[in-house]
Amino acid sequence: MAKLSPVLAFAVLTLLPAAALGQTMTVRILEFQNADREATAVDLVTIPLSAADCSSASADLRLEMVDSTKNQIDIWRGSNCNDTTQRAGMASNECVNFALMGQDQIINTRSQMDFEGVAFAELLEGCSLADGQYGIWFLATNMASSNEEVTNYASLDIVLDTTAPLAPVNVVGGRGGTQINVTWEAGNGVEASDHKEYRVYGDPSSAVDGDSCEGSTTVFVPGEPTPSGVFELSRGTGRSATINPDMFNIAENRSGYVAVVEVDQAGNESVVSEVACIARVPTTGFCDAYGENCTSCSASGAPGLPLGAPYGALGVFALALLGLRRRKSRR
Amino acid sequence: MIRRAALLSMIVAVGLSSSASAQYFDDTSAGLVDDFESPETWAFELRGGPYQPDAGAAFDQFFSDDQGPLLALEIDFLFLELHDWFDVGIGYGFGWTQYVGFANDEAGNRTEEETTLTLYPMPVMAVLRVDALARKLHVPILVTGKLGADFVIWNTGTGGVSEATNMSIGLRWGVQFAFELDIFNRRAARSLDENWGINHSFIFFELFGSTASSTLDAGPKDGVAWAAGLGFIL
Repeated sequence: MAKLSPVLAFAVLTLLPAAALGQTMTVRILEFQNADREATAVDLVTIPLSAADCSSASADLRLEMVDSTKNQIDIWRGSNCNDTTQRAGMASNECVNFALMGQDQIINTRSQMDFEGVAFAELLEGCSLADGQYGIWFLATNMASSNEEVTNYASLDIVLDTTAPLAPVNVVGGRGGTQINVTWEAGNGVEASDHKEYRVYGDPSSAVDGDSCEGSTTVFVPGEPTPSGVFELSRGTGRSATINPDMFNIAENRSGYVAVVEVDQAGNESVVSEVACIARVPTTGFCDAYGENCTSCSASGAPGLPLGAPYGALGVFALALLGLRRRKSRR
Repeated sequence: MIRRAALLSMIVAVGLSSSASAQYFDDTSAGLVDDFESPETWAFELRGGPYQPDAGAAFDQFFSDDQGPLLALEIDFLFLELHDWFDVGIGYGFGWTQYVGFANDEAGNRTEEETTLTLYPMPVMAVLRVDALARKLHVPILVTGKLGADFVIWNTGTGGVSEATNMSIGLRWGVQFAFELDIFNRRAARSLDENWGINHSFIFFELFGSTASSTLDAGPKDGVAWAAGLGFIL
């Protein structure tokens, strides 16, 4: 009897429909498309959906442990839409029923169903909803827009965050060779509560001779979104960055404009800040100041020994160790 | 008041020292500690200390406030011993220190661009470690002399771009004064020896100098520098 039990349990689990066992349907995101977020960032509550991702991104969804005896998947948006009264209260907009365009929602005896390329804009009413958390409910029912009791369902929670941080202020560009500092302050003096990082952009079209950006024009428009044609130079959490002017083609004795944006956890990017001028100038470091002895050993006529000498010395040391007999000093 | 505090400190220090020594001799004479010691073949030292090379005005211009530090390790192979008097060996060290400053523009104004100098001293030295004080007179002091060649690989760059890498060589010397820690807990010291082969552990203070200057003047700025650290004789 004891040997038969596992076999029996397997048969029961395999043959009985999910609902009969009271199993719960699951839904998960298999993959994002056209999203800035990483493919692994599937938790849409911890990392909210940004305005950009909501309008352009889509995802592959998979329903598992579907009650295959039911007729179709009924999809609702709202809170606790597994509850009949919530769905019955449509007048109060607790739950809203909708269908996925081009997706087969008929169960047709399947216990696993895939919805490919589901646009978030479709799930969230064209992204016109206010910021907040929304539940997308998948119910196994016998008819569309059903008000029947359901026991087999799953929900996908999405936090929509379309509010961008304020643009940084007091952006100041420095001078230097291949390392130039840019500093700024948070808009209104306070970083967004869901601050993720700052990004510094450079406008290669703004490059002009001299160290003051005099006569330069730029595609940056403060208060507008980041324009195309600019290069991202840096991203980091702090309110300063060291940039390399080579990254946006600023040659020596030339200058150009940079601007900064703040980005929140959802990925919403603020409008661009006021621009700041950075100047690439010739610099003098230790080597220049030290003089002619500051040369590499590979340089013609350079003094010094090959750099392998200390390692050679180490080799001699090791050979000496091997050659010398270890002497005992037990007392 | 200050004089009284100094006097009190001295009395406490001497008292602690004498009580520790007394404990050691009591344990030894009472037979609680036997004379077991494993062979002494190696010495290993970890050290650190402020260091500035004697690289002239250029160094002062960019790194005057930067004291390093110079961090290093050294391993000595002790191949000769005159019992309870001294050990003779050969040692090899490897160190690292880096100085960071800011480059100037053409007008001499400071920019935010970093200029760096990194030194990797690698001395090879003959080592004479005198342990007669500790072994014969039970004064836990070791005095070590070191003399050999210093190989200092150095690299400098500005704005994240390496500008030169080379090596300076010269004479290296050092005098070390070490305080053996065994006396504080003789049983633990013996246990270290039995289980790990560590005969003695010590803290030390070392004065050293170098004439490594064939390219960059990498020897210490004032002719002599100091380091302190922890060492083991194995």
